[in-house]
Amino acid sequence: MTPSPIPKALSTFLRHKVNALLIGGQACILYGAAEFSRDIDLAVMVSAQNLDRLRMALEELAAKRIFMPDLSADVLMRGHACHFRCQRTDVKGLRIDILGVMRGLDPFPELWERRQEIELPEIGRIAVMGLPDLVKAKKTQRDKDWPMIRRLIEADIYRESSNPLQERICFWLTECRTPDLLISLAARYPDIASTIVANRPLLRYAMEGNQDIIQELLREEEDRQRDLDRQYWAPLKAELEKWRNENEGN
Amino acid sequence: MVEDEVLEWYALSPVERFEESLKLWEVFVLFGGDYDPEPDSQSPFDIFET
Repeated sequence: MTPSPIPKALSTFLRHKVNALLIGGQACILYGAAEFSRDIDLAVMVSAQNLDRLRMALEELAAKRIFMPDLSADVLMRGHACHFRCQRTDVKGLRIDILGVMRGLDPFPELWERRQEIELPEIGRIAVMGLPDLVKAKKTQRDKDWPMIRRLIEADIYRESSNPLQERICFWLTECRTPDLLISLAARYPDIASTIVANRPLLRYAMEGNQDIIQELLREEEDRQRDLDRQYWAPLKAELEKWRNENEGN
Repeated sequence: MVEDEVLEWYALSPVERFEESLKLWEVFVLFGGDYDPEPDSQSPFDIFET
């Protein structure tokens, strides 16, 4: 039997008091949108002290960089991700990806204020990116992130639908990507839907129960976000290629 | 419509889901699972492994 290396790695970050939010697949598991993830993705506070703690935790895991660039405050603040693979025997092979800022998301201190904390047995109290922020973080150019967004919202509606606060209903109406659920939300909360329709025109069709047009407009929303993500990454990819070429030249 | 199996997953607590995902690790390893993500040509990092 091979135990998962995830608990050991997470407890190492906790022990070193790294100011970090769990994002990516592990966060999606906790929120119900995924069943399995083979790596750990963290959004970290970019400060000299926190990066020192992070480096110590990575050192304890014998984590080596596997992509450009090297970990630094500068690259994290510019939007790059730093990628590591653990070498220590009990966590060997585990991938850890570190981000400092993400497209469309607030600066880390605000994300931290909105975090969820979950006590995980034999690990400790883990800080997880708040659900609305995680949904925004998942609006990428990658196909695989979009079904995840749909399930993040579905799971939240399933859990919280008995007596939701208005803020939560607004979140669902703004982010839900399941046509039949949108129709049912709009029917159940027509007044709130009316206040949001200016920002999300497809709600008009949800109120009419027109599933085909909702589907079409959901696709347009997705395409728009994918384009924005590609635009965001274009200069960063160019920079990565430049570093890689320089690295290969050395 | 959401499948029953998915609804059961939604109904678990975060801790229960985390523990279930750890159990899947054993299956993942048993079947020779790779720690690296699946190749994803849409990922900004797809071509940068050193």
